[in-house]
Amino acid sequence: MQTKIPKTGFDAPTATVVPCCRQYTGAWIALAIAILVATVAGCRPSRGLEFAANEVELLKLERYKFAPGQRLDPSYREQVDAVMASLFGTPDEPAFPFPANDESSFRQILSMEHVAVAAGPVASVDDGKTNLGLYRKHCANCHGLVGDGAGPVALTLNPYPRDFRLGKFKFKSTPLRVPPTDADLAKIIRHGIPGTAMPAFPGLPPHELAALVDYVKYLSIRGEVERRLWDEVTNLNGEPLVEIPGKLQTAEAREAFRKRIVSDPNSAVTAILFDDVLPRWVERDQRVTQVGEIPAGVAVESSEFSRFAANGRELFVGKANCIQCHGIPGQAATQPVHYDDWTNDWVKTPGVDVLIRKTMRDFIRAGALPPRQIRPRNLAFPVYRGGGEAEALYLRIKNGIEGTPMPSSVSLSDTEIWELVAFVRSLPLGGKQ
Amino acid sequence: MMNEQNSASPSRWPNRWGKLLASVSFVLIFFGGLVTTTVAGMAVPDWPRTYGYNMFLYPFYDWFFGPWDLFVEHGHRLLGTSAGILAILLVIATFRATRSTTMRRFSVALLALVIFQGVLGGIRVLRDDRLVANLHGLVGPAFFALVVAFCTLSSRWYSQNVVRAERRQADFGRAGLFRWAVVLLVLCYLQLAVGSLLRHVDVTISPRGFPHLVYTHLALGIFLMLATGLYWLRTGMLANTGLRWQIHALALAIIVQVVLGLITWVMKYGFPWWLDQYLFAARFVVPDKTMQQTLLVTAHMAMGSAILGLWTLHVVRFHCLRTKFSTATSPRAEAAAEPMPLGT
Ligand code: HEC
Ligand code: HEC
Repeated sequence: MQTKIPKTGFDAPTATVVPCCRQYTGAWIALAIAILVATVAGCRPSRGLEFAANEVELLKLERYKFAPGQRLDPSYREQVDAVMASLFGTPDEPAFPFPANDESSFRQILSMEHVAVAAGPVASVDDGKTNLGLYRKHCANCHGLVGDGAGPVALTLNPYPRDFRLGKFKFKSTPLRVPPTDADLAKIIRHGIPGTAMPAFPGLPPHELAALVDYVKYLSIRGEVERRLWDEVTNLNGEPLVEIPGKLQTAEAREAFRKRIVSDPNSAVTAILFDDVLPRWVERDQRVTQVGEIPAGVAVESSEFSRFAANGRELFVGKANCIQCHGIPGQAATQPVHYDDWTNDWVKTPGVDVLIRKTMRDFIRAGALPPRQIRPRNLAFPVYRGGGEAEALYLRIKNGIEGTPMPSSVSLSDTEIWELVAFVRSLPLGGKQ
Repeated sequence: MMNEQNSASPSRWPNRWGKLLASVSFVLIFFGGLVTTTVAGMAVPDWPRTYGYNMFLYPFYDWFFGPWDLFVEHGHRLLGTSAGILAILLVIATFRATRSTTMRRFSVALLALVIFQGVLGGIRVLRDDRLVANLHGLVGPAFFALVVAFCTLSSRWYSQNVVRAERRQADFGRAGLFRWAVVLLVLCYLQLAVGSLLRHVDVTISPRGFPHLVYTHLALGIFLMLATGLYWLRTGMLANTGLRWQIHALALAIIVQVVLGLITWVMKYGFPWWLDQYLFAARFVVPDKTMQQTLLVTAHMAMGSAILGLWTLHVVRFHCLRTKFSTATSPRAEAAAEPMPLGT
């Protein structure tokens, strides 16, 4: 019996314990090699990507302007693709359509050094001290490679991540239709947006933050220009938008074409760039809404506060009619059905009905995210996505919130707006007015 | 015969190296998780060198006190290499300790796997490829689980205590329970696979797939929690100390894991919108790449591997007990069935 004990240092398992090791060694090795070969040979690295075209916009324009079933002539598609690739480059090699003139004020809009740091695949150089590909590292999973707000995780979030391509931003110091300032964008990225998936990035070094701000502007401008180009080509009847000089595979070829486009004063493309889109980004700093002096009465501790808030309440339920959307916390209210501009942009297209899924199918296939109602803020909480400071609330109420149903208050005086600010602030205090 | 077996004085070294390897692998997995959580995978562009240096000669100061991304990525590489060295020592120890082809092949397979994993990691960096990153993230836990299995098979528990301690138990051979354990082990790995896909999203993919992955991960997580709970209840019948502690540990771990999973979601994407009628949700701001986020998210990932390891340990032990019983006529089982002093 002793002789039957295997001479092992420790009691070795019988073959039944790990049968697969014994019988299929060859198969395991073959599998491992197959996986290695497949991975080395087969897959697509995250370099050499291209910006996706705004198919939703194109589909919408076709529905508006063309006979049913008619699609844009493919040669126009080629032209728009070539112009876009030349003006703005690719996700890895970004470019920007600055005018030929070096002195031009358009050059202040953004710095290409910044954009280059934020663009491209995630990477580090200088022993890890310089990080590249910041946008793909921190933002693209939500906001998408082109900034269409439809990154891989977008559908699980509500509100959806911002689609930068409309050039609309919610929380800013400028009036409607004027782009946000750099400080506005930096504030959002640094502090995030409470109650949404938009994170705060407290650890970003200032130069990386600045790079991301410029990249957001870059994507936003790129998106606006693209929309206008689609609009332009859907108006043409056969005559070309531009003559494309052959294949534009290399960055040099694209650069040459870009220089040609921006120095042609009569082309539709320069009109879009230099008369329409870019000027708004240059002017934005001059068009910041002046908040003026903050009256003492908006501070909760102030003795004036209750008077301010009481007046604000009158406005809220009366003249300003805030109550139609917000209701007063604790009181029953009907919630109106609203969609934001990023949804309304395409669901207002003839033939589309938000209540009938079938009518939206083509748009959703083209990349649109299914419509979701936007809900007015619950003012029972002292939580404001654009910031709770008196100035921030003043700006929200005065300018409205761009892209949302929240309207600007053109008919209200400054004092009235401050009274509303006081009332809004009083709401979380549980009716202390 | 007793003396015979004692004087053979089984070498503890394969088991010791195995345990060390398992511990290092776990830390390695945690570091790998940190790399993914903080998107530091490309912090060192070359491989196998680090910024042109031989990996081991990279200045300690620049690494340890350098930028975070470099710290985790280079640290991950150093740990990976240590795991490789340990695996070599494990093979040597095993070949010296036993003639069992199964164990020898097992140790060699572990070494092969750790090399394979290292090469995958290299390809992941050189090609910056998400698919490889996924695979790399899946081989890691599998390797860890296999090392745990190796430790169990080379353990003193296995070689000495098993039959003596469990002989009195008639119940643990119940096939139904064992099958459950195996199914749960497999599902647990599947869950890790889904989790890996959730963590390695590619910016170019359409958003349509992600919600399905999320729901799968959620459903499987809930199922695993309930099934583990049931398993825990059922195993009350197994008055078997060699198995029971793992079941308790698993039951506890899975609860912690579900909580960590929910925290992970919130830490990355905030609370679901329908909770915004609560102040804590309405005012929550996702704290991206903060230490708090990084550690909690990575803990969820590492806990997954820990649970996989626990299941593996449990299943292997369970299997050993069952086979010992069912092969009670085998020479070894008979030999071991002789009375044995305790505590050898
Ligand atoms: C986890 C997902 C997520 C990530 C990551 C993310 N965002 Fe956002 N972001 C959002 C969501 C969701 C919104 C929309 C919030 C809203 O509508 O109130 C948003 C909105 C924005 C806005 C618009 C703010 C406004 O005033 O309208 C900007 C700008 C922005 N994000 C920039 C960034 C940048 C830059 C990064 C990377 C550094 C980033 N985001 C990363 C989800 C994300
Ligand atoms: C047509 C509907 C509508 C009306 C009228 C309206 N709001 Fe709003 N309000 C909204 C919506 C929708 C939001 C949320 C916007 C977002 O962030 O997506 C909002 C947000 C707000 C916020 C939160 C800002 C922040 O930073 O989070 C405040 C404060 C606010 N509204 C005050 C008012 C006041 C005061 C009035 C009256 C002058 C008013 N609203 C009128 C729809 C409305």
